[in-house]
Amino acid sequence: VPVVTTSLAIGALQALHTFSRSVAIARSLDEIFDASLACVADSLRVERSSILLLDGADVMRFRAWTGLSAEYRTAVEGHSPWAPDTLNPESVLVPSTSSDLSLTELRPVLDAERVKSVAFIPLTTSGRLIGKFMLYYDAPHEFTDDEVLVAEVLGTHIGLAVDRYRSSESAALNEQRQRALVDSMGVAAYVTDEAGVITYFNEEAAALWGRRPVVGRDLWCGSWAMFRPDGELLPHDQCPMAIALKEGRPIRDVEIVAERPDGERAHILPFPTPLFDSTGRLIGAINVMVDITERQRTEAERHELLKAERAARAQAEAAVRARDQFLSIASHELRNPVAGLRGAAQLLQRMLRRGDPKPGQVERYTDALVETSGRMARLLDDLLDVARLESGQLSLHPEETDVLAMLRSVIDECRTQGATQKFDLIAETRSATILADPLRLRQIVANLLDNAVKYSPNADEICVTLRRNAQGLALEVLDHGIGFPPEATDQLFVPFGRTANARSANVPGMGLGLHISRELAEMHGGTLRASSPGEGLGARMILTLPTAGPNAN
Amino acid sequence: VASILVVEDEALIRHLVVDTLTDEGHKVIAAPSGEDALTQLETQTPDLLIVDLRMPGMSGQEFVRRQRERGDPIPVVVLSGSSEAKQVGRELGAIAVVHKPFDLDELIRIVGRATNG
Repeated sequence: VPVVTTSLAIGALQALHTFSRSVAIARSLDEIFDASLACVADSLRVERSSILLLDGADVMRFRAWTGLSAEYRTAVEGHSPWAPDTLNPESVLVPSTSSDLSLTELRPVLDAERVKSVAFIPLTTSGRLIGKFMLYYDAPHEFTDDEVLVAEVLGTHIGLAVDRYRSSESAALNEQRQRALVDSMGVAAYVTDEAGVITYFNEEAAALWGRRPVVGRDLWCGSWAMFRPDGELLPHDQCPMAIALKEGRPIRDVEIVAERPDGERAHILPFPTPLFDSTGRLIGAINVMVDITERQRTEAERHELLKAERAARAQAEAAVRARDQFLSIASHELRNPVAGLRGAAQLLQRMLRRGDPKPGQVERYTDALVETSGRMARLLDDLLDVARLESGQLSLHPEETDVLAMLRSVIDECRTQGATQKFDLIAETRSATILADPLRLRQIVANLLDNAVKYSPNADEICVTLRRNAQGLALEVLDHGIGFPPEATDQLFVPFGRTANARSANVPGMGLGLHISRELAEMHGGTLRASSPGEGLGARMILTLPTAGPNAN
Repeated sequence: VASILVVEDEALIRHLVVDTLTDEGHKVIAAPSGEDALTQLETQTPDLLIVDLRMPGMSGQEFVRRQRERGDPIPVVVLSGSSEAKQVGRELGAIAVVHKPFDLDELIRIVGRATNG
């Protein structure tokens, strides 16, 4: 290593010191070039110098100069003593331009610019040529080893400064590109550094989070709070982005629920992806967040709609079945009495026309007319009641009603209508007055007693018990008739829901009475229940009614 | 004049048919069920059966089948309010079907045709 003369060394060091300070705060390449030329002039004591860089087409272009004319620059631009791909190019020194054969072609230009000596110092990064700087002398110049050494040190430093500026510029450009990309995605996205610190987020992300995280401080995710889909709190350091960074792999197929500061929640599908540099080092991560709240809501709505549609269809099908059942039962229950009425009327008419009314027959058929038309009138009432109950058009008119007096009256009526059973009325309470619609309550009681009579064809005893309980009154009607299988209990209260044994016992009826009675009892705020130990073992009906009467409605 | 057995569970209808056809000069007996009718058929053989279909216990169809198993088939007139009466009547080989509610003159006419033919 040649020993540099002290004065040159001190000047060079001072110039390099100034140069490195300038480079540190340089905001453009031009500022770096200006500092470079100043450094060259100071340390090598030359008046004219220039800096050229290879452009994108590997052509040397002037980037900065002192003391050179435009004509000269135009004439020599592009000239280089090295091929662009030369590795570790060496300085080319021309002590006298007039005696150097390689510059013969340029001599007129050099002469015109009064350049008598010149030095080509390569600018390199990692041994690769990126440009050169030039020294120009008015007279032939013998280059000392010191000068060459200082010039080459300067070349190295200028090369480094240019390279550093360029890579910081390309880093800035990369970041700019990344931000433009994130901004233009149209979905929420953000970027973190390798530690998970958020470095950038787009407006969609801010809208999704309902807040703006602090860039350079907030970690992993900008949401206020996070939950797993099952509602369990998800700590920020366990969020998909944190895991992607920790494990260095993209995370997919995870759903999270993000809560905004205003409490609103969003269902999110995150796509966190770690980013690596060319050496494979983790440098950060990007996360794209797809808001699936709306999609989920739509799916839930569609599901609800489908369910409602199925329910409506099932209801419609049930209605059709009920109608078919009604038609089947009504046709049987109505055709027989209508056939009876018609036949009886015709028979009476024939006898009258012939003038031969047979006394036994006249009585039988007029009785039948009265009895059958009465039965049909009750049937019609029941049907209308069912229709009114179903459409909610049946209203109660409650008043103070003595249930015990009513019971006695209904039992008397049963006897009048030919009931042969013995009625055993037990009143365990003397205060049997409640608030109830007397006509409707009578309908319930009459129905219970009629049933007890109808289904006790063998003239057994019917036991009626009235007692008071905490809420009001309980009326129990116990018969020893045909009963019903316990599993048919619910069926009793369904419209037209007659049990098989009731049908086969040839007891007339459409199966509406108990349905109507229970509905009326419930409208009164009461209940109606039935039980039987089994077929042929009798039935027990228990009606409860609150003293206070129907709930206000 | 023919002898007729009426099988009908509904008392009013049974009486109507018996009284009407008796008035027309027929010899009419009645049974409130298929079981009762089969018992009566053990001692007599009428010219015609008038049978209701839907009855508690033994149905009209069942009664007709049993009657045919036991002896010479007796002609049948179905008397029913069922919407399937015509179909069932055809299957049973009934000579006529009377629909409820029926007209007395219609009943007389149909029975007259059935017993004369």
